[in-house]
Amino acid sequence: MAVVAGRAGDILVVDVAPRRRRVPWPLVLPAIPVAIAVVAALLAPWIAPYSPTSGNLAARLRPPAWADGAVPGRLLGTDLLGRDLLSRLVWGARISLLIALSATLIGAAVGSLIGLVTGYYRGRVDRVLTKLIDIQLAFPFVLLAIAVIAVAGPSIPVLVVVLAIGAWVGHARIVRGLVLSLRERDYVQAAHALGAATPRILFRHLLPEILSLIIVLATFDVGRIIILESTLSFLGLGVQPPTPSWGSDLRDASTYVRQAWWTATFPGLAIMIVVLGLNLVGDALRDALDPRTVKPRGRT
Amino acid sequence: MMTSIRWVVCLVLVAALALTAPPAGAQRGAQITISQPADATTMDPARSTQVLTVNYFVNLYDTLTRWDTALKLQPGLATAWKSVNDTTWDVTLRSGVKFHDGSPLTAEDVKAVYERARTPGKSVVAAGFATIEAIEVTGPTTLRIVTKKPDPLMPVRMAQMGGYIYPARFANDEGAKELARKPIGTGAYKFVSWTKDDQLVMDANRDWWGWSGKAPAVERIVWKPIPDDFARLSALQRSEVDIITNVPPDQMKIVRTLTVPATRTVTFWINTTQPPTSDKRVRQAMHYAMDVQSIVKNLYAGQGKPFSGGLADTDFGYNRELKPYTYDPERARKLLADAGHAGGIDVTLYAGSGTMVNDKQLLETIADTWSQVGIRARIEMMEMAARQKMNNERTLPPNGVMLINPQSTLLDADGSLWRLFHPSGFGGKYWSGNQPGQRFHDVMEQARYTLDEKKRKELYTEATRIIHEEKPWLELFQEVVIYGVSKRVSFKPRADYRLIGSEMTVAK
Amino acid sequence: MLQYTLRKLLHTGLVALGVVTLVFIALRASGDPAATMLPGDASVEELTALRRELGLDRPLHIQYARFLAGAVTGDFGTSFRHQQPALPLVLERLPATLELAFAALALAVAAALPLGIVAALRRGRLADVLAMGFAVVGQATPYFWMGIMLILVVSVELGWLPTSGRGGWEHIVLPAITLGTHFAASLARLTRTSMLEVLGQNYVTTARAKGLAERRVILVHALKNAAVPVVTLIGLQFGTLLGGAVVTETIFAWPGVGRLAVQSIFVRDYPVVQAGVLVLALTFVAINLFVDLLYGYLDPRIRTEVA
Repeated sequence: MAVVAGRAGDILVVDVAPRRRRVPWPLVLPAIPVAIAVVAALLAPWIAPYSPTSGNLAARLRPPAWADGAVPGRLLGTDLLGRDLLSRLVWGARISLLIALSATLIGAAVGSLIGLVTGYYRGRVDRVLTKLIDIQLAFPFVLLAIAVIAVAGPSIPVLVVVLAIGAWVGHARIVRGLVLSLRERDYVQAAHALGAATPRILFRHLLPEILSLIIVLATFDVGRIIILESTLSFLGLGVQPPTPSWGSDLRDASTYVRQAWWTATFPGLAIMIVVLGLNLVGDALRDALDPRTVKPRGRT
Repeated sequence: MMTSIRWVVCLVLVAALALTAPPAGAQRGAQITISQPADATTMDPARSTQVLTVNYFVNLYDTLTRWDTALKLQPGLATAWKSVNDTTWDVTLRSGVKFHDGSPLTAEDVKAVYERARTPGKSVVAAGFATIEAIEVTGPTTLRIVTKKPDPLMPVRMAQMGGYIYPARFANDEGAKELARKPIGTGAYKFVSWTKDDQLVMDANRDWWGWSGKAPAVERIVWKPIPDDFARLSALQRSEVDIITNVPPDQMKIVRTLTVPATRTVTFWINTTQPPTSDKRVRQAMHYAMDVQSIVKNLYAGQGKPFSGGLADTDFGYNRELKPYTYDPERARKLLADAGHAGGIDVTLYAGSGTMVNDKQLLETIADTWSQVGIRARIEMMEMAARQKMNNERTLPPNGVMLINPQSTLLDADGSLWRLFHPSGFGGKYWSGNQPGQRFHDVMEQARYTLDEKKRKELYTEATRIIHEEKPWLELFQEVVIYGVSKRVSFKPRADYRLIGSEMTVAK
Repeated sequence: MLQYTLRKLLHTGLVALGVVTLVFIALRASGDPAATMLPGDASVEELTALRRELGLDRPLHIQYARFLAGAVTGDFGTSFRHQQPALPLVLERLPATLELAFAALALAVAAALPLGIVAALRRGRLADVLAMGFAVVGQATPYFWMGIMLILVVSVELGWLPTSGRGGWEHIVLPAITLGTHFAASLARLTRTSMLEVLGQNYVTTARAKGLAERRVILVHALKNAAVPVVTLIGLQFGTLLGGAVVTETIFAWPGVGRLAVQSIFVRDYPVVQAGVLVLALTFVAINLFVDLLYGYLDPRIRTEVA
């Protein structure tokens, strides 16, 4: 804790340790919708009232249960093929989250590892990999996605790989930057001087420091990737029919927005709330873990 | 130093000022704006067969013969054509016709254009001119066309896309590049300007031979492509454009529309070279297991005409006796069991994204109804280029079912059915060579060279019956073309998807 | 400074080469331009003839060599579809995309900086929550959704602005908002964070202690130092902006490079894709270079760092 004297009677206290709260509301509150989505995704086969892929053409584009013209049992209405919107939403959570989480995990793992290695070792490896990162960043990602999907076909594994490719660069760059500064720290130098093997240094000493950063980045990534998936769906490259995903459902429903608002609104809301939740959770995590942010206790 | 905020404000103001361009030409009295989902790529008629590009050609250029709004063949740039013998046609051109740059139309121009059109590699429409052996110029406005074998469809071939006439000096590589940017034809409208993907402007050609003494009703056509369905519809609703194409059937209630059953059909290739689809009972079952009426009613707002026998009602050879299969899941199951597949079969449905409106949903619906009789279909939506590749390289896997949306180029069974089922086309590869298939080939090949119309009709009747019975491909319905039209414009919608400015009128 | 710049330029050249090669390989690994240009029933002879005409029958390394040789002189070949030289086709569309990007950035900066600053100053209070609320919602909305909503509400229902196309200032507003929202959201949050960081630093308290007016302290000192991460963000996010531009250009029928590039990929128009990707990549690198130089100007410490 440092005390800086200012004008008489005006003292600012700077806190370097995170404040302890009873219940970290900034973290818990936004995490709730995310948790709901994850639970829905996991339990989809059991909690979805109807099949997401089988529809009744005669009952298409029917409004949610509280409006007139609704089909009983279809709580949120039906889509343009007569399929139950709620079931598609629940199954869509499964697919969208599965894709986003896998892509993030792969991207974060690969990116952080590369960032760690290049940041610590520097030298030739660093230069080559940095060039690679720059090349990829110079390549408009959407065009890269189209090119890859055009070659390999739009299946879910390909989609995950493409999105992971989009994710790893950010991690690599930021982790590398952090490692660059950390390696100069005393305890790292000391460990090195004492003869500790490099992997040990990397994993015992550096990793815990950057882990919190990686987690924060990953939280934002999941949100970003959910949005990216919907953009790819817009171009026809996302999840393929009849598999439900929030992104492709939103895309298909966009043209019906005037006459059947519910088909677009619910997937849209789902995306927004989950991404929102993830971003806020990420914010809270970052605030809690970053010792540099000022939390003025007020003037004493 | 100025603070960042003030910098920002300045930037924004400068940007706003810089971006204020003068509005694009005030709306003239008789001007219409047409919006399609994409812009034309080139103005060279030999280099595109896309409907939306051809819409530009049909206004800028003329063909030797043309189809009127009732789809009857009429004189175009040619006033007379006569079959001198089985393989020779004498054509007389209209006199006094001038290109937009003032130069006169001569038989040399027609010869140059056709020679280029029938050279594979130089043009993409060569297939339509493949029957031509030689072209001779016999006078300033007369020419003689010699065909390899008797070709009853020669007059019709003169009307097809790819037959648009431009000056001979553009019929080479360098000239074509210039033509692609600045088209010069004989058509009712003259090219004015083109900002790609933004707008193309054409003005009425007062010297056009086809006005028949009347003043042009539409003085200027502006083409503004808008890719997104919703944005295009919204533009029509706000009267920013007058005509839009590709209106999703569900959205028809929102705007004023004009419709007409068209020359396109909704059909799927089936690779029948291996079991189970090599058995015609399985293919028939696939038809009985589809509720086409429901699909048309629900996915296409009733805009579609179920059919059977391979032809749209716009084509010569159409057999109105053939009734489309009904929706009969019981019968489908029975047929499958008879064929030894009581346990069901597995197929894959393919389509290129964007083939037609609601294509994805069409496949999903078919797969859904099929699953109820035991036909398990996996869906694969492909990117258009990948699907084209599969199409052209004939690599559709066995038991694959691929959506095609064929157009009839000649309004004749030859230009649709035979073109597709020809041995060098797909049918030859995908339709296992059993007896009925062979008979079909023989009949169609004979019809191709039969000049007697009555005899041809008989042959086509037999051919369509074979298709109806064998179902070598999946037939659903004939498309209906839907145009969204603003209140001030009127025209008779054409079954061949052409938007012809000279046929339109504008309310003042 | 000069050495720094030269090094960066060399870096740029290598990156450009890498991008171009990657594109070259990726394109030829899939799809067939000849097949997309011919009608479905074209014969094998026609396909072969067209391929020969387009120069696609030569072995891959020869095609690559010819391509590189041409590229160095600015000749990217002739577009298969448009029958025009590829590079001019791309370049004539570039101004439209830059106009859109610039407008989006300007709007985003104009909206985000004040939001971020206010949020930092009124941290924890309603203004902060609202400002950050807007930001997070903005980041959570897919581009095309925002575009369609804007067209629906502002254009169709309210009738205030045209639905699409390029023209006067009224045509650029909706696309710019659609494209700029994600960036504005990120920028607002970043501004807030860096402002907060900076506000706690010693020199701010020193300035306060020196007795300078609060306002002057904030605006002059804090903002100037917060500019560095902000400039970085512009550099980093430009790539994402391009991705968003593709969608925005398609929805609003904006005649830009993004739309051309996507269309060309779908039909495998190699010359145009190659030219387009290179132009976009170089633009991106140029922006980054500019950002790095700006960095060097703003913070002298960075100039002497090994790149």
